[in-house]
Amino acid sequence: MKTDDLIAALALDAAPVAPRAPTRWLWLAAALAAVAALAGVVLGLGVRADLAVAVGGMTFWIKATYTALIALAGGWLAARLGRPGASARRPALLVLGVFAAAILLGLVNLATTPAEGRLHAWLGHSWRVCTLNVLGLSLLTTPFLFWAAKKFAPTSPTLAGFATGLTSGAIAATLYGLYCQESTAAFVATWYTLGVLAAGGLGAGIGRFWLRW
Amino acid sequence: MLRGLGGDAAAWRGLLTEMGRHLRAYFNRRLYDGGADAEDLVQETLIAIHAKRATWDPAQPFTAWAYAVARYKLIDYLRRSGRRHSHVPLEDAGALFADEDAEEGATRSDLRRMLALLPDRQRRLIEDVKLTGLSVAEAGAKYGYSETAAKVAIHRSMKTLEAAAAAGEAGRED
Repeated sequence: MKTDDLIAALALDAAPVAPRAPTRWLWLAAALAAVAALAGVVLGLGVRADLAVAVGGMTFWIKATYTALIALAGGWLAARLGRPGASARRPALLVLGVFAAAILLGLVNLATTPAEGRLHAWLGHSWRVCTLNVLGLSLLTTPFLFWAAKKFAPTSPTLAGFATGLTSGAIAATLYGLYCQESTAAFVATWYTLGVLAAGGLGAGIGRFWLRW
Repeated sequence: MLRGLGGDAAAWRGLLTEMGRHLRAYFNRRLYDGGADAEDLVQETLIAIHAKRATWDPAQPFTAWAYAVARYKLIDYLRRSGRRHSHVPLEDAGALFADEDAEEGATRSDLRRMLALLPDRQRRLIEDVKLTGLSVAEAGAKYGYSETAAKVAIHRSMKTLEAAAAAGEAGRED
């Protein structure tokens, strides 16, 4: 086809588009992903028996804040990486900052715990399953977010896939808090973080192929 | 661009046409064996610009967005064609928009410097035929040559220029 004919054909299809549209799809996908993860927790794992008591305490909300912040920062990062020529520096720094803060809190937690209680504070009751559960739940959230990520145009699909996976993992981890009873910062900073990062790694692999355009 | 996003087909067509020109120059410069591949890449990039136009953030310069799209398509093409280790330098958006004119300008001024070697009448004749695009008869009439004489004069001028070019930098010293 001649280039001029192609341009004429494309111009015929010049329906109005909104620059905010891709971001809106991302929000919608995040909401649907949260619903899917909620269903996964309620139907698959079962909500923690002491939920009514837990929501009255700080720990529950600090855990949720950590993972929700990662989800927000990760989504922001994915959205910036998905716009050619836009700088992703600030969201990248925010993601790193939130991870660093959580790890720091975890270390402080260990340092202030008496030596005999440290191992338990770190491993809790469920360290063997926590990371895998978060990763498993992220399988429910990932399809929604990658569907929205496809509306963008990431110039580095692997990196954008990582950010998208991170967001899926963080949404899954936030809802996982409805099941998981662990309450130490050291536990959350280690096993939740690993689960979220694993989802990010999975996302990088998906993005490398799926997010090309 | 904004009007194009708003669904103004004429504005969008104008923008795509202009982008096509910039892209053609950019890809031709980057693909040394350009030709048909460069034109394929122009078309592919135009389709991407069209399909992904919502990913341009109006708070950002349009040029930076378009350059990033073009560079992505170029890297993608180089990868597909098996040149895994080729390196596409990250320049600023000007690489897509400004260079073209600068390079064209450079070629013209080189040519003018070469032409300065010729006698005045021959030089003007060449300029009119080769640069301005008049026919040999028209240009000849302008400077008092018959068509045949003009052809001979042009032929001689070209020999002089070729010799000058072959002598390397000779022209630059005059």
